[in-house]
Amino acid sequence: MAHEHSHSGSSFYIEQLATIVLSAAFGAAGLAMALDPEKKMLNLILVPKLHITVLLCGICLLVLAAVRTVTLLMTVLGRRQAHHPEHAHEHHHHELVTVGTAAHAHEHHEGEICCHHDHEHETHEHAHADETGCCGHEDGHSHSHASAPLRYVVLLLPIAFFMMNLPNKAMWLAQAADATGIDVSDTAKGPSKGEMQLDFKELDQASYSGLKREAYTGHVGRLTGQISHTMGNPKVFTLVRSRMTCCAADVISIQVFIVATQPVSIPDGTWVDVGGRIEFQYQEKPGSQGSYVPVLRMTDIKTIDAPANPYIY
Amino acid sequence: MESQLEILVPQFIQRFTGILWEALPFIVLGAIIAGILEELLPQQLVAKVMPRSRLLGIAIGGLLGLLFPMCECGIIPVMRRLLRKGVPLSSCVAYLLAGPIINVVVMLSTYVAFLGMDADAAGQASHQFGGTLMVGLRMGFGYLVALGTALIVEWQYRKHGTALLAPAAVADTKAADLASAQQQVQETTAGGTAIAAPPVQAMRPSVMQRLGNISQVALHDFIDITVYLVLGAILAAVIRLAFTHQQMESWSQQNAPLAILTMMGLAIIMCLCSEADAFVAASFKPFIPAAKLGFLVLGPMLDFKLYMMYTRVFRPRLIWTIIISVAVQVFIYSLLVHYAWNTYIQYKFGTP
Repeated sequence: MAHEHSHSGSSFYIEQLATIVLSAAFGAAGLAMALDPEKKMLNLILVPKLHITVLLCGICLLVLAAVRTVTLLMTVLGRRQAHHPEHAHEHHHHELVTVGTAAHAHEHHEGEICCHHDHEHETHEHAHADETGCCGHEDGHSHSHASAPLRYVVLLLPIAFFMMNLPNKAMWLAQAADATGIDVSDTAKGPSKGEMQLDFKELDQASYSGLKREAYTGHVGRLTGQISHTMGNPKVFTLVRSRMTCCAADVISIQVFIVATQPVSIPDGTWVDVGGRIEFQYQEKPGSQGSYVPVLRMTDIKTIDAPANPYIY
Repeated sequence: MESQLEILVPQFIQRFTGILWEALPFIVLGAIIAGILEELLPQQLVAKVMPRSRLLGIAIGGLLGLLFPMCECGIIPVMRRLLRKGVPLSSCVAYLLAGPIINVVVMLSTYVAFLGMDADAAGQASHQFGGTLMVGLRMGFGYLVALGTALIVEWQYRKHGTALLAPAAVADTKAADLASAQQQVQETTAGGTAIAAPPVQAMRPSVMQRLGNISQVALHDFIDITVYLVLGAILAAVIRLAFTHQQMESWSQQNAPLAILTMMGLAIIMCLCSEADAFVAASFKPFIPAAKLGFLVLGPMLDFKLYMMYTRVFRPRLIWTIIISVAVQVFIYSLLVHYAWNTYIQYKFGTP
C-alpha cells in the first residue's frame, strides 16, 4: 500500500527505491551464483542439494522487485494526474481493503477517529509529521530515520563480497589447510607423550574415533611419505602415501598435514621422513559435514631414498 | 603473525557467506507468505472461531502459527489485530510466543539446517541433533514454553485485567469497536456519493494492486530481516574464528549450564528472524546440542528487537512476567534435555 504524503514524498520514494534495488541485487547475485554451470562459488558455501534454493530465491526476489517497480511507477503516474481527490480516495479505499485483513504495519487512518500506528514493522516510509493529531499513538519510536542508511550499508556487505568474487577457489585452496580450521599457531597444545613409529593408514583411521584420537594426540611420531605443497602456505604441506586396497586400479592417496615452524622448501614428490607431534584437527566442508584430520607438528624433517615399494596396504 | 590475517579473513568470508546464503531463501519464502497474509487473510475469522474455554483458547493460540506463519517481527501487529478482534489476551500471548516457532517455514529451515548433523563424514554418530530431532524438540518445547507463559498471563489477567496492556493497545480495542460500528453505518447507506467522507468504495482492489501490495510488504520484510541476518552471521562467523572446534566442544560439554546460558544470551543479542536462526545455530556445531536448542526456542520469543515492540503493547508488569517465564522455562528444559541426551548417548554408545 503506497502512502504518498506530500510532505514526505521524496524520502518515501527513496526508501522504496533502495528497497527495490537492494532486493534486486540479492536476487541477481543468487541467480548468478546458481546459474554458473560450474557453480564455482556455490560449491564453496553450500552443499549441492541446497543450490536450487538459491536459484529459486534469486528468481523470486527479481520478480518481486520488478512487480514493485511497476506498481510504484503506476502510483507515481496516477498521483501526478489528480492530486487531492486521489489522495483522500486512496486512503479510504485502503481503509476498506484492509479492515479485516491481516495487520498491516503501513496503515494510516487519517481523518478517522484514531490512528493505529503499528510501527513495529520498522517502517521508515512514513514521515513523522503524519502522526500529529493521532490518538493512541505510541511515542518513543526506536526506529528513527537516521538508522535507515546504516541498514543499507549492512546489506551491502554480502553484495560487495559477491562483486569481489568472494569466496573463490584460489583463496580457498591457498588457505585450504588453514581456512578449514587447522591451527597453524606455533604452540602445540597439551602435554607431550612418548615417541612412536607411525603407520600412515593407522593414523588415518584413528582420526574417526574420539578415543583413538585421544590415544594418539601428544605422541611424537615419525612418518614417511612424499611431500606435496598444494597449500600455498610454505609452512604447511601434506605427506602423501598411496594406498592400495585391492589392486592398482583402486589406489588412493591418503595424506597427513604437516605444520612446520619454518617454511619448508623441499620440492614436491621428494620422499621425506618427518618427525612431529601428533594432533587431530577438525576440517570443515561446506554445509556442516566435517571431519577430523591428522596433523603433525613438525620437529624435524630429512630426505630419504624412495622406498622399494611405495604403496601401503 | 602476518599470515594470521591471511588465514582468518578468507575463513570469515567463507563462513559468513555460507550462513547467509543458506538462510536467505527461507527469508524470502517467509517474506512472500507475510505479504500474502497481509493482503488476503481476514482475521475476523479467527476471532469468531476461537473457543470459549480459555485453556483451549491458549492451546489453539499456540498452534495458530501453522495457519498464519509469521516471523517474530511481524507477529506483534498480527497479535494486536487479534486482540482488537476480541481474542483473549492469554491466547494472543500463546500465539505471540509459539507462532514464530510452530510454523511451516521455520520447521523447514530448522530441518534443513540440522540435516546430517547427527553423523560425521565417516558416518559415525556425532552426538548432535539431526534435522528431525531438532525440529521435534524445538516445536515441542516452544509449545510448552508458550503454554506455560500463557497460563501465567491468564492468571495475571484475572488479577489485573487491561492494566496489563499499554494505553495504545487498550485504546485500540475501544477504537476498533468504534471503527467497525462506523463502517457498519457506511455500508448500510446507499452506495455511491459521499456524505462528508470520500465515497464508499465497495469494489475490490485490482489484481495488480494486490500484487503490488504483496510485493511491497514482502520486499520490506525481506530487507528488514536480512539486515539482522547479516549482523548475526557476522557475529557467528567471528565467534567461530576466535575458538577452535575442539575448544568449543570441550568447554560446552564441561560447562553445560553456562553453555546454555551463553547461547541463550546470544539469541537475545542477535535478534534473528526465526526463519533464518536455525542456520546460525547450526554454525555453532561443536556446542552441546541442548545449548543450540535453547538458542532456537528463546530467540523467537525474546530479543532486543522484540523487547522494544513489547513495550508498545504491554506494560512492564506483563513484559517481565513474559520474560521471566520464558527465560526460566527455556533454561530448565534445555538443561533437562542436555542431561537426558547425555544419558542416552552413554547408554547407546558407551562413554562419549
